[in-house]
Amino acid sequence: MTVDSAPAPDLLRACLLAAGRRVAGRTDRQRLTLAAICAEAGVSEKRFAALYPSLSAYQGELAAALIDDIRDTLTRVTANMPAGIARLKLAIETYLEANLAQPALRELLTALRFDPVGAAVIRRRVAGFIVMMELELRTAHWPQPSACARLLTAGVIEIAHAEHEADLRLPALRSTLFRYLDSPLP
Amino acid sequence: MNAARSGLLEAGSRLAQTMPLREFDPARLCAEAGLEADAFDAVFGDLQTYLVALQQRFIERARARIAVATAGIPGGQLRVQRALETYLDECLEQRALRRWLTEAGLRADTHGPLRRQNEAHRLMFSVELGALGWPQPSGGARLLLTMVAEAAVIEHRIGKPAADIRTALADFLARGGPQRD
Repeated sequence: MTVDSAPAPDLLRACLLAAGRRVAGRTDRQRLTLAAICAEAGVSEKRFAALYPSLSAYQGELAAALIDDIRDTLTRVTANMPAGIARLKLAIETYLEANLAQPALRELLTALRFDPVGAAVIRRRVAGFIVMMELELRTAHWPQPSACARLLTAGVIEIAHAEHEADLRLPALRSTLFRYLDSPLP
Repeated sequence: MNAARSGLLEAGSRLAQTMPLREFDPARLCAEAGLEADAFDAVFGDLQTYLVALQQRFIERARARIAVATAGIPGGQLRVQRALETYLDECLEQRALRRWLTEAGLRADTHGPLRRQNEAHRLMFSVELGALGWPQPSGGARLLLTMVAEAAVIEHRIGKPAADIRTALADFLARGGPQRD
């Protein structure tokens, strides 16, 4: 499909984000470069530039979309479970698996960390995860659920980062986190 | 050279209290240190090398403070907890410098070197957690230090110790290791 002939902005945006999703979903670590995205979408770089002022502006939108996809997956996977630690563990496992399955997303997030707009996008999404985690911890009568949610979210992101670097699951990190979540409440 | 190096690092700590890292100017740093304008280039050469040295100096001071705070405390959870809280106290007291180092961590050219510097910390805590019987001490140390870094960021923002965050850290330390009946 090519949208170069008559691309309405919304259609072009959707087309480019869909292309980004496809590139990110490949496991060959193909980078989300301007050329790769445009080739995948069948869109010229000129059209791309008419919609997005910079590659990082597009990357921020794509990162938000990809993270929202993961959030939707978590919601779907855990939909029929009661709130609590078991659901939280499944959500964390699903999140980590999604990160491993999309190495391009982690590379995107790493690159965006150095971009003010991209960093703001990441911060908002991380805040969403913290809220989700806090709700589960609160249901489980966890001590200091709000503070703990912040620390655990940082821990989960660190595991995702470490697994991305290693390009494999790191059971020692996952089991350390889960051992804590499985431990008896004080 | 050592005196110039030390003077430039001390001057950086002072300058950090008055300006963000993005306004860093080697000439101003040299003036603050009372040195010739070319001293920065002669000693450090570039900003990345300087920031790594600045962080190293912060780490060494924090370690010295931790050594004093934990002297006489036998190895165990309490000693690790005291060490972590002392580190957080040092972060708060060196708030301006920490702001610079946090800014440096958001720069593509300094993020990696500064992160690698923390590897030594991880090894140290890995030994401590191993002694506490943690099944995966290296993984535990990595997670624990990530949480400590997050705690430092939170306390940096509010400008004082966050009791709930420190309690949550202590809880992870108490329950993240070997399960006890």
